Amino acid sequence: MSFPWPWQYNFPPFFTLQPNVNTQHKQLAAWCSVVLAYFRYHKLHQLDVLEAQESQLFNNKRIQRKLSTEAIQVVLEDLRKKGNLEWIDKNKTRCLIMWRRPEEWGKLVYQWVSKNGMTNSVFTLYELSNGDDTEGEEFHGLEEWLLIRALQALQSEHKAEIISLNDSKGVKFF
Amino acid sequence: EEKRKETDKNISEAFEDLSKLMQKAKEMVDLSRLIATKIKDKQGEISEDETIRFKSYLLSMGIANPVTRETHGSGTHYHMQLAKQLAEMLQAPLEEQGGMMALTEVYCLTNRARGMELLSPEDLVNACKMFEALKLPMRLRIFDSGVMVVQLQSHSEDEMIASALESVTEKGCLSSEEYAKLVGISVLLAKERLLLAEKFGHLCRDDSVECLRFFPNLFLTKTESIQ
Repeated sequence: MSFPWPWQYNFPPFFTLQPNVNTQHKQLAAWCSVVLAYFRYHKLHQLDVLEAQESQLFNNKRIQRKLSTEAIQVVLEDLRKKGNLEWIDKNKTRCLIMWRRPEEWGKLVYQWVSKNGMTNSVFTLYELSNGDDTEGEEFHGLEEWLLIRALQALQSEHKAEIISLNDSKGVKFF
Repeated sequence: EEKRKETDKNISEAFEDLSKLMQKAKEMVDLSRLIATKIKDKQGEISEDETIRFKSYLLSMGIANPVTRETHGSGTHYHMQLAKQLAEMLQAPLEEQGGMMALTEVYCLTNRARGMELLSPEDLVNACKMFEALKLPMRLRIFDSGVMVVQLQSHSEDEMIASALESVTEKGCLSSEEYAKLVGISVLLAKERLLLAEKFGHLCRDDSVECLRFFPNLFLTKTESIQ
């Protein structure tokens, strides 16, 4: 089964940045959810802005419309404001797309930890993302950088502390 | 040889007169500026009628002096009379054209009908600006794009937007050319109508290499959300 495109994807005006403020607002909201859904579906995390225009996400060959580079930038900026995107470089050519924000991931991890009464215990990062105990949890298989970001978010809420174990990292929950 | 000398002399005489005339006009301009500043200084002490008379003097010399002229009375007698005449003359053609005409069309129409004593574009604009103050049944309207039109007062914006939306919905999508052909108005006005409907959120645009097309605004009307 291929990615379930929303109706907007086959609506030509979706690919022109709308001048009307209200309309543009709705349009951008739709773009944000398509981008996030697409990245989630294909398990992608990084986006190269220069290549983006050629990806089917922003280029609908069937109706022969593609989103302009400027409009893509606007969409990405909107995603950044929502906390779902982070630029990797200063020139804004590559970015990380997090279809679930780090804080949300952190919440999920913490819920699992407290549900199983394992606060005050130490985990390795590998255990959390690839261990047998977490199998079936949504954060199972989460990439390490994102897991770290999630834990950092928890750390700022004083719910966890990241510790260095030899050459790998671990975490203690409170 | 003799004849040529004669024409030469005539021509140089004419030019000499012209420059003398310019000199006189310049004196008038200077004088009028002086009066204008005086009026400004003593605002209120001079009667409305006097400023109006002063304005018609300025007009006959062809001097635009908007700052002081706009501050003392909004136009002139001449433009008022012209506005009344225009209102009478434009009523029928406006109704025929669906209640709205671009100012350039109006200009052609009036000057072609006049033949003599033609209007300057400026006079036309100024006269049209008086429609509202004189409570005549038409208005000068300036679109966001800067295009100026004369429209009947009975011609409502809502109706215009509704009709644009209806046509677009019926056809799925329309460019301004197609819409113009469909309703029988000029492309310029067709585009303004579509833009107006867009501004109010009833239409949205698809700007592609082919052309600019307008669609019903499904972004706002279609509520089904993405999973």
